[in-house]
Amino acid sequence: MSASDSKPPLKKVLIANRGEIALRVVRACRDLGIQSVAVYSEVDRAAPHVRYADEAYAIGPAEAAQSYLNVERLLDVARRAGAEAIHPGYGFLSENAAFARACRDQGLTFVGPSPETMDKMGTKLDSRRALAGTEVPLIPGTTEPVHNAEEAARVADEIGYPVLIKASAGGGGKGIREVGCAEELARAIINAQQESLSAFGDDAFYVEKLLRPVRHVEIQVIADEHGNVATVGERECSIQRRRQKLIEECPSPIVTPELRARMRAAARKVVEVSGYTNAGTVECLVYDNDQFAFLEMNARLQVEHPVTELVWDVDLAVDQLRIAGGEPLGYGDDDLQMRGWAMECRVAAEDPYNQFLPSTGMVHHYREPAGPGIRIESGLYNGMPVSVHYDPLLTKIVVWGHNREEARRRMLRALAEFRLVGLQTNVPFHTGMLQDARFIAGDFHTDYVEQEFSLSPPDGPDRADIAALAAAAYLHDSGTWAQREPSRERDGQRLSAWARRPRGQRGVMEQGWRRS
Amino acid sequence: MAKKLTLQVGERLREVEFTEVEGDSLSLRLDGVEHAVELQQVGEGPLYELVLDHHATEVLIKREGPALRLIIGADSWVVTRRRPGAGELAADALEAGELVVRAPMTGVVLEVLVRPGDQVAQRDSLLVIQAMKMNNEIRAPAEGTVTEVSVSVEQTVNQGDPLLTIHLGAEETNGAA
Repeated sequence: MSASDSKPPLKKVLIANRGEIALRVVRACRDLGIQSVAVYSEVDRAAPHVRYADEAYAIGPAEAAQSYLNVERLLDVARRAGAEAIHPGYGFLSENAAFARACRDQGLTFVGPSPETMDKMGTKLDSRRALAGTEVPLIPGTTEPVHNAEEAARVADEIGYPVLIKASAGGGGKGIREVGCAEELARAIINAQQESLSAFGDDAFYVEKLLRPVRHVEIQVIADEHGNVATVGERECSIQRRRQKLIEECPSPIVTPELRARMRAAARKVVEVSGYTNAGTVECLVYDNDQFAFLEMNARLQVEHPVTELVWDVDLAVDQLRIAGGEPLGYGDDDLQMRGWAMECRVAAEDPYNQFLPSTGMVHHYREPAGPGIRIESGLYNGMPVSVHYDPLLTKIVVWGHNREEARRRMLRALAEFRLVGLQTNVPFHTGMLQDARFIAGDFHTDYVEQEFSLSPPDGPDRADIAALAAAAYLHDSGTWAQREPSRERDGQRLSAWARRPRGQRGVMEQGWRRS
Repeated sequence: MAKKLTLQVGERLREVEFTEVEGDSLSLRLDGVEHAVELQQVGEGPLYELVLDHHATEVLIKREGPALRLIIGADSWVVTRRRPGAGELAADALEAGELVVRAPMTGVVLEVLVRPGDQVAQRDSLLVIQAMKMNNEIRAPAEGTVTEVSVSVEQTVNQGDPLLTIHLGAEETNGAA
């Protein structure tokens, strides 16, 4: 890891993203002495990624299609700013081969794999085809598109029910059907084809064995342009809902050193076969305790990359920029060692008491957790409007501990300190899950949140009652509390210092208190 | 002591009774349930920590004209203080400068003293409601222009019914409608 000694080859990088990941890349740039160029839609002018970057350019209205997805504008800003490279973050244009190509055509370095690799590993079926015949285990099923029900029935009989019918061009769960038995097959195919035809203009599909229950475990990989590859351990991502990850950890509670070694070897093979460069993730399903199968390749920096960074002592965003500038990776698997345990909770503007419906509004008050072992990745600020235009992810709370239990307790501490007034967040879900017996035991799978876990309803008075009581207290004696002398004596204690006193000792009617 | 406070919290009228006051620690009764309440401002901003029945919650409290705005979690309320007997009523909705004056009690409209377009000053009489054989004068909670009168003489109104709407603010000098 010799980055700090040599002059970084890239001098200026445009970050084609927003929110916490754009800020993450701004920070990586600064660590490398690279100038960062932020872009922003008109609602993001005051966002930290804009204010902390060296330069910032407006690129359009709030709608992503006209701003963060506007290739022409982004390339134009890169040219005007004199940036040599574009970091796409995740989401938006990060896995768009056409954008990577457009960057190259303009003489700009795309911080990520080549467009050829993205084409090769672009869809699940593409990557299955590329990996067929290698030692990388695939989920049983077809590696070529299937066009009719007879062919599908033959495959399904061979691999055994239940199976999944998946649209070749699918994504985001569209065009996927579960089929429990042969009688359901024909109808499922018609439905998947119709959905796929209307969404993607393509009715080709493939058949895959439905493995259940499974865990989602992924391997972080990073490769340079000189043939050096590192596989940076696994992440456990089975706590998810509707294919959206909620909690990730590193390592996985079920991955043994032996399984880890096999998965890393397979991930290395995926990198070799696809000619992959830069940071990427090989997503796998783990089933029957120690069996795994390749699911798909994510050709970008993942949301959950910080858990890997904390346990394996790497800086993936910095390494991405170094590699993109032509530097050798500088380390291999033998140089890497894991230490401790890390967890990430994705705090999103979603109501866990109401089917995780998105909550929009204004951040009236925000204060981040801190203290030993806590790392916050957030694009939030006081006064920030949270709209429907972007992902509901607000903040990533990432913790490190010497072991899983210490990490879990630190996460509960961080969740208790997390303060946000103005939006409903999913923090109660995280707090409930972190205290769930099955979670504590590490005994869960990808359907656990939706099928087995239930969140206890909130206790205490409803918020309208709380508002009435708070207003009454505020109006008490027709004075506001601001006018009171904050330092006062009661029971021999100076109450002005309540924030510094140990939790639980603060007197309300001399009975103590606790946080709801 | 048993001081009582009548508050309009959003659309609802709530009565809060102060059963015990001991320094900053209050015992408040709401809907027959006793609560231990302490409200502490955090710093100098609008942030308060409410310790309610030994549970702490963060509440934002801002003054908005004659009303308070409270924000708890994702929910937001406009709260106004009301003295039903005096017939005084404040705002329950300040969006776009429109203030809906609502009936503080169930009764019969005896007199309507204003019409749409009338300028009113704060505390000007708007209408009279007869309830419990008492005539209650409803006064303007703020200066503005009456934009709508929703009731007529001899009409029976229920507590909380909208009576009229006032567009807040002084008359514009350029005469624009």
